[in-house]
Amino acid sequence: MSVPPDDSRLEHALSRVRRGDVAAFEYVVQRFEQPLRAWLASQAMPGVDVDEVAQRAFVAAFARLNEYEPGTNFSAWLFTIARYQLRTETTRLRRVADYHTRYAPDLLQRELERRADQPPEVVLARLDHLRECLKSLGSHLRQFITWRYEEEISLEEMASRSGRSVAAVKKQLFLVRKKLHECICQREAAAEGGV
Amino acid sequence: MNDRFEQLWTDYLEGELGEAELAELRQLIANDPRLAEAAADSYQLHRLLGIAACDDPAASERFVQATMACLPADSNQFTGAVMRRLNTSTASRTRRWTRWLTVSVAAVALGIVSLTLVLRDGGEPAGHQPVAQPATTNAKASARLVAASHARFFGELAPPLESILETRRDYVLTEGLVELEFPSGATVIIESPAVFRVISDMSLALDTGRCSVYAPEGAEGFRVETPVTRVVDRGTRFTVSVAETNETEVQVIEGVADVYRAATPAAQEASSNLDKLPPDVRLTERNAYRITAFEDVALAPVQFTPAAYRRSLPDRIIRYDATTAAKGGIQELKSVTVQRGGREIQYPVEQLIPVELTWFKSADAVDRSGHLLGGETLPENLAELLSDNLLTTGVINPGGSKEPLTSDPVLREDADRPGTPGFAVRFRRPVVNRPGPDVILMEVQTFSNPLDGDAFHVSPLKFAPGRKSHTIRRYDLTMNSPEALRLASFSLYRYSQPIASLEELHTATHVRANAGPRFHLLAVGIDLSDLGFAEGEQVEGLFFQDAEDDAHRVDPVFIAGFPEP
Repeated sequence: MSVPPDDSRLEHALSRVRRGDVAAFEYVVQRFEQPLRAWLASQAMPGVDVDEVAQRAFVAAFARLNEYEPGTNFSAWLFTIARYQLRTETTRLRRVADYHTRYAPDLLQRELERRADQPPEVVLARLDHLRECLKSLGSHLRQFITWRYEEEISLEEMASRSGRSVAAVKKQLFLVRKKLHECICQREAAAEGGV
Repeated sequence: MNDRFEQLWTDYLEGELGEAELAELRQLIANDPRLAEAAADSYQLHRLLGIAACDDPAASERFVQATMACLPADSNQFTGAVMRRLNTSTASRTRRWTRWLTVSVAAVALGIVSLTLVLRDGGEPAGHQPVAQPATTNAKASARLVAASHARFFGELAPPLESILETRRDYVLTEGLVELEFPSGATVIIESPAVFRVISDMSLALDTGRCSVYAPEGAEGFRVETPVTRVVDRGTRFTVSVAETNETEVQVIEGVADVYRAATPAAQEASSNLDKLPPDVRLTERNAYRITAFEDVALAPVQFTPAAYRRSLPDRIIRYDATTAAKGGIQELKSVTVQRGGREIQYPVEQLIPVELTWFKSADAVDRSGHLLGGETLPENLAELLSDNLLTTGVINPGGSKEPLTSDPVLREDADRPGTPGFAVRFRRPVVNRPGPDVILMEVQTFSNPLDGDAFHVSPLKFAPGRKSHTIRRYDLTMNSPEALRLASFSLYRYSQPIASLEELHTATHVRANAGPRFHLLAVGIDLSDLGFAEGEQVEGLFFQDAEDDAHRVDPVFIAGFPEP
């Protein structure tokens, strides 16, 4: 469990930014970069550069800080800005003529849009569950996640390292993801049950 | 779970799905709504895994620093001046001109501008909404940003080309120029520093700065509003300049323009009765007037200066187009759009004149970033890395010099004459010097590098009277340009020794390392006239050196000449 964020420090940093201390905004970015990127990652359609949208959201928040009312919910305000930025980028992508053939089945897109109002807290809780679930994975399964998401090596290299076929590696990745999904669902259900 | 779905979905996440399989996947999902849910669950998990895998403090720090580098920081002086002007002008304007300004300054030292302005025309409030939406487009407006040159906006990124600007929203242009096109066909070039708003399809407000208006047939009645005037076009070309003191100068280059003083009833009603009211002054071709607004609004003729009118933006690289890699980011160049001699031309990559790398020498020290960009393997002939269409291959971090060359570079070194640090290219066929950019150089850049691009010198291979080196410190497409696209992933090849020749690039020991994911592709056009070549002269090759103005060296991935237009 992470330590609850210190809002007084955040408000202090925002106050310094308003007085002209640009460097004070660094604390704001540090504080929110991971939640914001995680939330955007779970909401963004394929092809959207999440880091870029996150950066635009921070820059827009910085430029419009006068519109934020001190002492209210900065996080909600920032995520609202990010939602607009994401919507703009999504609209832009949709207008790319061959978007669907390059990136996304439209039905996936529709399902993601249906989930667009998932609150950031739900997504962040899911990220915490995922971290715990990763710890519970056996090392041989965890290895595939490390190769795929940390080292980003090709399927062929994974096949070579594991001594399996590419098809077997794909199957393994599918099963690991499925297992992780089930683990997250269990943890969410347990949390809802108050355990 | 459907086995076929499982297989296709995994291929989809790995970026290995062809068009036919994508259609098949779509059909499967369409036939079973549970699969859509499963796909979305899996997709969201896949994205969160990407985030969880990057639980690396160094990666977070890089993101934080890159974001901090994007924040506006250098516009205090300009914006402060704008704010002072608006503040001091408010009192007098509310008395003389029913236009009320409410200015809110959120971060004074930062100079963040946020203006809340209420326009009251003929007693009817026409609300100027405070900037509330982060989006840069608004479907209600239809003035488009059609061109930009080195444009920077205060507190926000420049809108992409062809985007529609929001109405009644202040845009603070701190650097460069932009061109807007209105539905009537009227075009306006705005020069920084400027604060402007699109008011309607037929009008623009200019609070400070200069604009050049062209209103062709059909766009008569287009108007520019300044704090003290309304300039109404009657089919013409004219410029409007607004100083910080509100002093406004109007110059008519062609045709006729009517000027209404903002204080007069005529001006207040001008927007609804444009054709009925007599102007305070009608300007014809080669007429120029200055309108001042101290105690009273006064008009006085001034010297006509046609040079103030700007017919087009400077020649430059406008954009490029490239294929997209399966995992995102651009990969292979398809075309380049450039303005040469005032004319916009799109060249498919096949029409560009390729180069061959004929010389390379690094600085004396080992460069930890390496000297080659490429994929998992390198081609046999490294001399073609700058001319293949792949934007993820290149020859980077050449040697350089603070001072540009004034004599021929040494490309055959011996004991007495060391080779010149830098690199030389030879065009496959000569490039003919024509107006505007004749050569394009593209380099990879990330947010921790200079945002305007890495400075470099470009020199003739053979010096002759009149020929000279030229230094480029700012690219046409910079990290601030929406047109500078993000690059697909690539590898860096690092050497354990300085590189003294092209041969050593091939033979010296090197190791491959994956580069970070945040690189963009910048571009700049090189006008051979800047090197002293005469119009129509043929150029066979060029020499490039890093300008050694900082710790960052130029990283070219593509160089080519433009054919004759």
